Amino acid sequence: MIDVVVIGGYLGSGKTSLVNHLLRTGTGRSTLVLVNDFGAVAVEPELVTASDGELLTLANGCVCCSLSSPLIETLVALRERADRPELLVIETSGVADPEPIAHHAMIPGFRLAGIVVVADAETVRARSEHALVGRTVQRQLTAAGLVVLNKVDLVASAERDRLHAWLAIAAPSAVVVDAQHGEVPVALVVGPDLATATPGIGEPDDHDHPTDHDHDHPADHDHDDHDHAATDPHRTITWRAGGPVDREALLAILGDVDAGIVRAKGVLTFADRPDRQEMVQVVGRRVHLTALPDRARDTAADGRLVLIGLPPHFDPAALEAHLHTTRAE
Amino acid sequence: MPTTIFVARKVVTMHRSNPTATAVAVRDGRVLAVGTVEECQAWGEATIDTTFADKVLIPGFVEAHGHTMDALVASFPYVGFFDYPLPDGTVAKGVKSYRDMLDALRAADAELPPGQTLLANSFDPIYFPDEPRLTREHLDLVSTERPIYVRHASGHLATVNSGLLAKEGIDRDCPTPGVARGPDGEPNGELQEAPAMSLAVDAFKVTSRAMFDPRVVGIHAELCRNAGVTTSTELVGGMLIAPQIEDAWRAAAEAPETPVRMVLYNMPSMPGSSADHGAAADAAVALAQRDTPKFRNKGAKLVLDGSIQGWTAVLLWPGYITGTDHGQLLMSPEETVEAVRAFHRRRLNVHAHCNGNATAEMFIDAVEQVLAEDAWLDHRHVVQHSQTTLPHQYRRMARLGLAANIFSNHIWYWGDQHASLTLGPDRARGMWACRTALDMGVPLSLHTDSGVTPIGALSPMWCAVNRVSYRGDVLGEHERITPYEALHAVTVGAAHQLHMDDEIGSIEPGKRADFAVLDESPLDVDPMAIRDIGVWGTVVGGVVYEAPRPGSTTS
Repeated sequence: MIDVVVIGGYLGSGKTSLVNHLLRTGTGRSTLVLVNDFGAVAVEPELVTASDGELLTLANGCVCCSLSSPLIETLVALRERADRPELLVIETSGVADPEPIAHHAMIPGFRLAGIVVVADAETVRARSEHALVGRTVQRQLTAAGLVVLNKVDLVASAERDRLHAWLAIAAPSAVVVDAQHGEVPVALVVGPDLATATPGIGEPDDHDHPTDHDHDHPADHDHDDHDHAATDPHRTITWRAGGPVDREALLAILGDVDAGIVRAKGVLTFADRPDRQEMVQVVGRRVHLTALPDRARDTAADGRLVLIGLPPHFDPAALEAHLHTTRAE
Repeated sequence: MPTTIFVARKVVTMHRSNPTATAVAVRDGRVLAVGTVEECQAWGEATIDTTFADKVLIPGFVEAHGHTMDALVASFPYVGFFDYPLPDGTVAKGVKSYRDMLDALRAADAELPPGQTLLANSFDPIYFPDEPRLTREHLDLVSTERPIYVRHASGHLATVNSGLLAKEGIDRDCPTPGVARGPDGEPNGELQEAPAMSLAVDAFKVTSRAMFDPRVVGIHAELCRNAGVTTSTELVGGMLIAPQIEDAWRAAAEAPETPVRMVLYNMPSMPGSSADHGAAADAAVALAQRDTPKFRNKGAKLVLDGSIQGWTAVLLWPGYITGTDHGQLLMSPEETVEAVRAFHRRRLNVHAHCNGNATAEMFIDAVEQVLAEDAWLDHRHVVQHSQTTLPHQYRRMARLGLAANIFSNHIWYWGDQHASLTLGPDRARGMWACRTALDMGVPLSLHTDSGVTPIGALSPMWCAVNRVSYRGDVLGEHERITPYEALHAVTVGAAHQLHMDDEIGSIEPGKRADFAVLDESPLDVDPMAIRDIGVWGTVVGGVVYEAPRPGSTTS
């Protein structure tokens, strides 16, 4: 199954900056990025291993192209390919409603790993009231699980606070992270990598070095965003369920504003459906559950849930204790 | 240099200085002279062709907004409401009731090998307001074994039977949004939007747009010939998105047996994604340099919103009278300006799909801004569909040099629904405002959006002249235009919008010898009889193409 992240946001909000940041940093997984405007892709030439004008292949496992047929047809063809990626990132157009686009990720072969909407701190409020495009901007924010509030350096801190208060209503399902130049920890956008998560409570920045997992990558490579990642205040924990969990109890925790969860991903079995595994993906307060077909049974990740959050709301020890209470008898 | 003189009962030229004639001389595929046989003989030796001695020749109809996808409407069992013409000259009968539809499906079922999925096309629930929603229970009356997939005319829905649900494993646990459910929580057979429709894997693969497949050109051209159309515009051309198809399309259009000139307005990107418009416009300039007589690439097609009957067009206040407003803006105002600017600077015109008056306003604003930067006065950018454009907008369009291509066929096909379900009777009378456009001085064309309604100019003319709906109501008598104005719109008017009025659109010395061969002149018959005029066939570049005449119907 291919994880799908949808990146939306109005024209000029910084979607392209975020996508370029993803492409440069890599995701640690084989990734296809369907960009809205191929001409706007900007990565350093030394990262590129192949380019034919319509398809760009990067050393970090990312491949980038734009749509040349309807999205649904692209996805139906993609899932049949032997070289299909593990992760698909879809950058939408500036006026797209990301919600119906995310529905494309809920067909067999795919699972939705979140809707990320980029908002321009300087203009998003005015845009949301614009006679012609206001409704479009409102729909984008409504659909978001994660809002990347971009260009925060261009507004005063009081205005930033007002924006956060406003977004709590305008983007009711979203967690908001501040950003400049579209640069946010990659794991917040694409979700944590279950394959490399280790149980316990991680260090502040230990989820943000996906290229470390790329064995082809030179060990001494100097990360562009190293300084940025080192000061990343987010924390990560990996919780082991140890058996079936209670669905309602878990969903209540994952949807709780005060838990401070930005991103979570795991493979769990719920007590009401002990016959199957379900992939749990959380972005902000949006929880996406996908039943895994038997052939996709993931024994390695079974019963593990990786959570990324922002202190002080995100209290790893308290959260672990809280999660333990969801274990079914 | 051989010259042929075609003799006709009447030649209607749409050329003011010689409005009618009885003969046309043709040399090298172009009109040499128009007048009497004697006048034409002034050019020397000529063969006299009397094939059309009892026919009327008019300029070949120019379709300035069609789609070659109409070739696919006819490729599956047809369950649309209105009769649909087929390339062999027969007609697929429309279904007027659920019983008709089930009969049509049973007939198709009887002809298919066991196990093969039965696909039917063009069902439109808007015409069956008194029937319950179509569900698997209806289709199960045809078969519960054979998978059945009925695609709706909107392209946004399909209804399937229990056999198909079982085959594809679509059950109550299916997580895909758009799988509609009955009160019992089981799928009721309705699959809404592309992700849910794609669950019917076999059917989806067959019906999903064989996008840009050159094989549709030949079938589309036959439909054009049968309707008197000699130039047809594919308004969602794919040459910029999929440049690798160019050679195959040119070969299909240039084949001697293809009876139509194809004009393409190409999309700079897939609808719903953005493009580097400067690069796209550069590519369009290069494309146009490779034009051949029957394969022409022009400017850009932009899609700015959805449809009115789908409630996805973007309207100014007060919006839709019933139904939820699902208005979908498909390009931002900023991107619209960028796209118009890029093509305008390269002297290529832009055709923008604006069903709603809010998107018409956005496009007019964009043209105004670009025109102030760059004074190409004869740009002829076109508001396409222009179904709800308002008088003040036509006034601006006239000042700014914009043209309108109005989807007048809606008056007959959906006029009743617009009066009752979308805009209400008062504003429905002001839709397709052809009279207003002409009186304000906006150059006008009329189109079919072929694939949505059948290709051919007589029906759009009939609608613009009579404004009669399917139910028989006159919808907006004050917006009627005359038969002459309507004929001008589908010949010279359309050619003008394509920047081809120096070449086609009238029967005039120097222009291409493109004629529609009719039984009667649309200017001479009772206006209510315009759409019933028989079409013998066409002449394209002096080559005669006769339409088949089986005189029978199939379903």
